[in-house]
Amino acid sequence: MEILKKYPKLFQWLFLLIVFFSLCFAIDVPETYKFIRGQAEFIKDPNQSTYTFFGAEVRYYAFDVFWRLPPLLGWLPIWINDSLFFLMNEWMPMEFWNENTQSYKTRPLVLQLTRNITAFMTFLIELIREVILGGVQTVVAFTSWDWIGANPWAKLPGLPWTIVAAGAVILGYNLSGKGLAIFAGIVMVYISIFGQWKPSMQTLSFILVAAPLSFIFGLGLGIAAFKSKRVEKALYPILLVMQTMPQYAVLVPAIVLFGVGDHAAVIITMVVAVPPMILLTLLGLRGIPPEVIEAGKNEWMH
Amino acid sequence: MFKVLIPTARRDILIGVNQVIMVCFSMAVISAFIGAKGLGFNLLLALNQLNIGLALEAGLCISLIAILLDKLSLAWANKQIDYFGNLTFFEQHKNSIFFGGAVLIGIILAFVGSFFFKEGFNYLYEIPHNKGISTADFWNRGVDWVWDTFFQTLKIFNTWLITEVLQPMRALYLRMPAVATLVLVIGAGYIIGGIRSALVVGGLTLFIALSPWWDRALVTTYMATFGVIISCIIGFTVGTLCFQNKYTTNFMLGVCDIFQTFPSFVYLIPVMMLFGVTDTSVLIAVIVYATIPATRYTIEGLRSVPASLHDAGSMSGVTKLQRLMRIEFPLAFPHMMLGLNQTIVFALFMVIIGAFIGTEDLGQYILKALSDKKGAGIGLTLGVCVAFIGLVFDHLIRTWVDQRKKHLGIS
Repeated sequence: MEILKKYPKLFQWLFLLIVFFSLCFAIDVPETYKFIRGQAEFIKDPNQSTYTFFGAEVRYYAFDVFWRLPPLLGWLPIWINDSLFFLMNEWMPMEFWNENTQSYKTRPLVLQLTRNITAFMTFLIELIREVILGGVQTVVAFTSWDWIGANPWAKLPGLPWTIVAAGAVILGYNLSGKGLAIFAGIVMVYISIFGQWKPSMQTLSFILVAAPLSFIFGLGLGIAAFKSKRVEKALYPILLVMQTMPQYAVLVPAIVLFGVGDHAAVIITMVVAVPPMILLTLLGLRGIPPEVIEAGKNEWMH
Repeated sequence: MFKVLIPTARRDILIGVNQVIMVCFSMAVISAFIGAKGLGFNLLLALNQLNIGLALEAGLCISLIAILLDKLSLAWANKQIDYFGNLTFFEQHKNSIFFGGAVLIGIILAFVGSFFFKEGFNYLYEIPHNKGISTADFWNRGVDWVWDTFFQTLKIFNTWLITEVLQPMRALYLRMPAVATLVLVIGAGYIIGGIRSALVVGGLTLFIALSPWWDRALVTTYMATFGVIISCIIGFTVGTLCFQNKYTTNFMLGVCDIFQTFPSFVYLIPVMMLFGVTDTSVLIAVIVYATIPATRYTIEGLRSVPASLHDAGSMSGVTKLQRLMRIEFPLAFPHMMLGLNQTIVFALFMVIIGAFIGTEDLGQYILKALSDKKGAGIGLTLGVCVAFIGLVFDHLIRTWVDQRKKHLGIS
């Protein structure tokens, strides 16, 4: 009894393990199940009762409910698919002005919104890409293809790699000192000597869009969550799930909503990068001692 | 708000910036799947041709740029502005002048280069793809050499590992009845954090149990568990050893940075060539990736032990080993457990990527959903399932760490 009082947790764990293992031994593998492929997979006899649940056919495991629970959530993916489709193609049709055809066109709201976001992102990416690599897309965005055809000189010249490298070195020296400058120089020279300049700058261009945007969104949402309890309560579970979710799972919905291309990459990156930023902002703001906040308030009064 | 609160909370926000940049670059390859141009695309192309050397170079580029940007942003945030200096015009605009000079020189160089290199490639303007130096052959030959030399030994080891360890372990995991697992998880939640924890954890597990992929989730958990155990052993050992010296500590943190942003696909392929399409290949990739947070948080945890306690220990005459075992480990343990938390998340992430090698877990189904036109729902649900596996452990560990910190008085 002495030991029991001294380590109550230990005995709780022991009791739990005993219950767990006895359950494991008590519940036998149902006869309808068998191992296949070197004990890699279970299969079940197809001769079993099925029933419909929300329009989907779901298997019903009548006798081995303890062994494996019935897949009652089988309708969820189908439902998500349908609602995404509805949102994209049918929800809230509205009239939008179309520049190219000079007429009003009826389009669902979400589709129009995502197309606008896409256009904005693509413009930013192209701008950075052409400052570094050169091209005509940005000029086209301000004028038109006909204008480019009439004026072939109107083309952004790309920066030579020597300039970008020198810029990085100077920036490094200015911000931190010799060590960082040397490191920046080595990185830039490595990239260009190994012939990776163009792809590197393409990658950099969409990251230079995604990183600041996710920083701003993360900081803003973090502050909002700090100020209002309600926002925080709504955000927190979503953030936790987003942080542990594998990035692949987000790819498919992003393709459905935003299509394929560099802009979709920016959006995916933002979806993944914003949650840690929000959490850390919140953590930092929480860590501030109350006196500092009070002092700040007094400061504003004067 | 922006004058007082944000500067005070700067340290954590800076860690946030660091995370954002790291995540952005770790997405560089994944976003190539949905049509982003750039290094990630080239890397996947090189891997398709089994040109590991080329992929390695592209991967290194990604890590280097990531670290450079990270360092630059940190330096920018840490920079102190000198308000009181009485500077001349030249001193104030020194950097702009230098940059202007660099632009001029660069343009002149590029112009001269256009006369110098007649073959159509102006090396001083932009070194084109495939025209630079390449060490690809060297690495490819290296991989071939390893393949030729160690293949037999590795094959014996691989067969042993699969038949003796991995398959029995998987069978054990699959043998768990759903109800018993639920009882175990809810009980653990109750013991660690009371009724509320038990409910949260039970709800998360119930979602997975009610989805049609419970078996697959068990396989994912088994792989993640194996990977996490091995990487924790490696990470804690390496972290503790490196902490003994300041230089090795910094070196190790740098290595962690490189590996975290280094695209995992690059070492997935050589490993697959050596070990075949088996669970071993996936697990090795998992271990390489999941060791990073384990090492990093061990070092950070040991660092967070106050120096005064350190000195107090030395004063009372304990040996180095005693100090490590009695003072540093217990105090650093909560922090290390947060590392374990991250290790689990990283391991789960890599297990899912392992689907490219050919596993039979949740990741495989996500991969199938990727090429499916109506895969959005399945992909999301599977993603949530994986996230919930992670969150169960996350919740348990976090609750435990909070209590432990309160107990030690270092919260």
